[in-house]
Amino acid sequence: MSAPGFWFLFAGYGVVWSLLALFLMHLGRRHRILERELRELEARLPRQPVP
Amino acid sequence: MSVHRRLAPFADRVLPWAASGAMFAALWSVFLYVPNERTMGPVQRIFYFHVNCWWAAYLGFFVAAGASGLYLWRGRSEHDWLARAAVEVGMLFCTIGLVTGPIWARPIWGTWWTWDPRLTMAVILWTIFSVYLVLRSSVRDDPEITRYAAVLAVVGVLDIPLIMISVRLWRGIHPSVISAPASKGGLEDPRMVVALLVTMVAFALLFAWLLWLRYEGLRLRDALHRVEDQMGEVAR
Repeated sequence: MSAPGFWFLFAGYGVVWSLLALFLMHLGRRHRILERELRELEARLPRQPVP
Repeated sequence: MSVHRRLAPFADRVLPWAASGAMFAALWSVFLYVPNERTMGPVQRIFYFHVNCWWAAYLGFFVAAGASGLYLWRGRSEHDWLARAAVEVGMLFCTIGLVTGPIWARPIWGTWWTWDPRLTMAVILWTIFSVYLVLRSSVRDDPEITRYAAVLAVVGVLDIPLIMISVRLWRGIHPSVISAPASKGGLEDPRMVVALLVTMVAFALLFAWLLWLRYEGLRLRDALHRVEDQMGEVAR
C-alpha cells in the first residue's frame, strides 16, 4: 500500500470505530442513569414485611 | 404474545454475536479479500464502509418515518420509541458517512469538501434529523413536541430520494459506483461486489442490534417514569 493512501484509509476506519465506540459509551451512560433511577425508586418503595 | 416478547430472546442473545461475527467477516473481506482498485489504490477501501453507513442511515430514517406516521395515526408510545431510536441510530451512521466521505475525497478529488448536489442534500438530511434530536432532547416527553418531531421525520425522509437521484438529476461529481458499469467507474472486480454485500449484511445486523438496545432503553425509561408518576399520585 502507498503511504498517503494508507494514512487516509487508517483515518477513515479510525473515525468509523471511534464514532461507534462513542455511541456505545453514550448508550452505556444512559443505561447507568436508568439503573440509578431504578435504585432510587426501589429505595422510595415501602418495605414489605418478610413472611 | 407481543412482537416485542417474541423478538427479545433473539435480539438479546443472537443479535450481538451475529453482528460481531458479520463485522469481522466484513473487515476480513475489505482488508484481505478484495484487491486494490486500479486508479484509487488502498483509499478506495473506505468505500465499503462509507456506502453501507449511508444505507444504514437511510434505513434508520425510513424506519423513523414509518414509525412516526404510525404514531401520528394511532398515538401509541411504542411507535414513538421506535422512531426516536431509529433516528438516533440513523444519525450515527449518517455522521460516519459524512465524515468518511471527505477522507476519501481528499486524495481522490484533491479537496475535503465541495458543494456538489448530493453532498449538499446529505448535509440537509443530517440537519433535518439533528433538529429532530434537539426537539426530543428534553427528559420528559411533551406530546405536542413529540407530534412536531414525528411530522419532521415524515417530511425529512423525502430528502433521501433526492439524494439518490441527485447525481443523475444535477450532474454532480459524486461517483455513482453501484449503478454504473465497470467501464464507467463501477466495481471492476467481482470480489468487490462480494465485499460490498458482506459489509452490507454486517451493517444491517449492527443497525438492528443498536436499534434494539436504544429501543429497550426508551421502553424501560418510559416504564420507570410511569411508576414514578403513579407513586406521586398515590402520595398526594
